[in-house]
Amino acid sequence: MLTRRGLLGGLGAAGALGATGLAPRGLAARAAQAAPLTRPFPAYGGPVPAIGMGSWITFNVGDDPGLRAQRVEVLRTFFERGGRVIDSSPMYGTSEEVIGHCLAQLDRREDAFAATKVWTWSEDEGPEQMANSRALWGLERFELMQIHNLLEWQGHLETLLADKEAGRIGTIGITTSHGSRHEAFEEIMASQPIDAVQFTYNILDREAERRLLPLAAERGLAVVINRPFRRKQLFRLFQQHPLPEWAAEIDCANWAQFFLKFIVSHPAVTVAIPATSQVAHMEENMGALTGRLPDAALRRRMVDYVESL
Amino acid sequence: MFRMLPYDAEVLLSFLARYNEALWPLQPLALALGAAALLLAHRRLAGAWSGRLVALVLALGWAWVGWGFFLERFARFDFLAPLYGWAFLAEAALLAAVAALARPRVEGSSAFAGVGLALAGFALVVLPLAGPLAGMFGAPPGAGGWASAPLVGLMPGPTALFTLGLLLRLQGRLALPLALLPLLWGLVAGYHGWALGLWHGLVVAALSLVAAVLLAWRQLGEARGRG
Ligand SMILES: NC(=O)c1ccc[n+]([C@@H]2O[C@H](COP(=O)([O-])OP(=O)(O)OC[C@H]3O[C@@H](n4cnc5c(N)ncnc54)[C@H](OP(=O)(O)O)[C@@H]3O)[C@@H](O)[C@H]2O)c1
Repeated sequence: MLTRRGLLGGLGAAGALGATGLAPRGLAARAAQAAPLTRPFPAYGGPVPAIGMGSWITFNVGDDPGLRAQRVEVLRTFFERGGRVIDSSPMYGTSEEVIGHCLAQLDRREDAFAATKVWTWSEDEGPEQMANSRALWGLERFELMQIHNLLEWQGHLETLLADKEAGRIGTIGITTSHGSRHEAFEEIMASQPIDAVQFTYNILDREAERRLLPLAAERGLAVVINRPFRRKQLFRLFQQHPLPEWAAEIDCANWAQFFLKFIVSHPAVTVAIPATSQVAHMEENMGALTGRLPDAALRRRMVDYVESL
Repeated sequence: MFRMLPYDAEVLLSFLARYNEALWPLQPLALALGAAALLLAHRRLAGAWSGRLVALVLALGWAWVGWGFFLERFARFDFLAPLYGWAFLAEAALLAAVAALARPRVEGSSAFAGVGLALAGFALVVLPLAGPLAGMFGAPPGAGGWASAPLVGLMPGPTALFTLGLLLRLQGRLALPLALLPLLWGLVAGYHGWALGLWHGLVVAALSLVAAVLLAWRQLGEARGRG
């Protein structure tokens, strides 16, 4: 398994990774990228595009044909702009069903890196819930199955290990958000046979830099970042301010790209999964897959800038 | 703050519109039952059986909203819907038990009862009209249109407020425990209103609180009177 251990000493000061994966400090920072930015997803065996898509609230639209048709367009834009990783959960109402509908409409099931979660108190209900998710997405296999918010994690982990063996899932992950339960999370990261972790990290919520991100790098775990915009809050806080002039040096045309490039330029991050219900926003977000990324010094400057506003 | 609602206002209003469409023509029946309960709770029309009938009609509304709205339909959208559904069924069972066993009586002419009638009338008539009318007069969206109009007995917000209003017209100590779940729903509706920018929910919350305070006040007065 590919691990980044050793390459990534002192993550806070480390440089950004280039489009092809691991690059020496500083070098990649200003290198223009022609191809969309991808990152290795170690246990999966191949690279994935560094911007994915979440589906909390945004894809829970039920049967409304108009809303469904809009979401088809959102997902079409996502794929056309090079996206692959789609994250959902049985907790998100009709989201999985609507994603399945969109994938079928677009005939893109094969292109998706499908990530969902198991979310039930009962270990026994896990297999049925996951089978239901497969039916809703119209897939026979999830590339990433995550234990949502560590709920009943010991029991589900056993099921997932068996499912991985049987080929029903590609990799195993755990999730948390909002900075909650980081200690328990860390313990599982350090001791259990998992492949990926998902937690919150964004330009204001940087708690993960202290322990979770370095530990993930050390353990060779893929890192999925949720709440990259702190839901809408980052826009509400900063959108009325101009982007700094030097944002052009990292090819950020808007705030969404500024926020996302901050995240995916962290060397331990694999993929950020912003959610959106709008094609225009998807265009902006996917723009973060191309162009230059900030290096460590510029990342510091990005933080200083938003904190000064 | 973590927003617990897994949908936005557009989706909720679309769901309510599709729900109303699927239920048609239950709406006139629900309105008629609500109006009948209101009339029964009116003092001059109140006979020996009216309290029981009022409680029964309310039980029917709570049972439908618990089952037909939350468990059968809304559970697809919101993981908390089953919890709400069972709470509504529990209130239905309480109301039915009171109707069967406790002989609730319609209150006379107190100011509490007057406010109760007004609140129930507001829930029955004004709440469903308020959104569409406000929209017609150019108010910003935030309560939906005709298609998603909330009706007593079919949707939770108006049912809770209607119940609190009628409880102010029913005599006795039972009114207060019966008001607990409606008040809780009023608060949940307020949270929905706040989180989704739907002022309809905020109105339900504010009026539910008024009703609950009046119920407590009345009970306190009665206890003092006895003491
Ligand atoms: N415990 C867990 O496992 C967990 C917890 C939280 C989240 N997650 C996952 O992570 C995903 C992302 O987190 P999130 O959805 O909570 O928050 P987020 O991605 O930080 O923010 C989503 C919000 O940002 C807005 N937005 C997106 N792109 C925009 C743009 N370019 N300009 C302006 N606004 C934009 C969206 O509104 P519009 O629709 O208007 O674009 C949406 O309201 C979730 O969807 C979910 O899949 C998992």
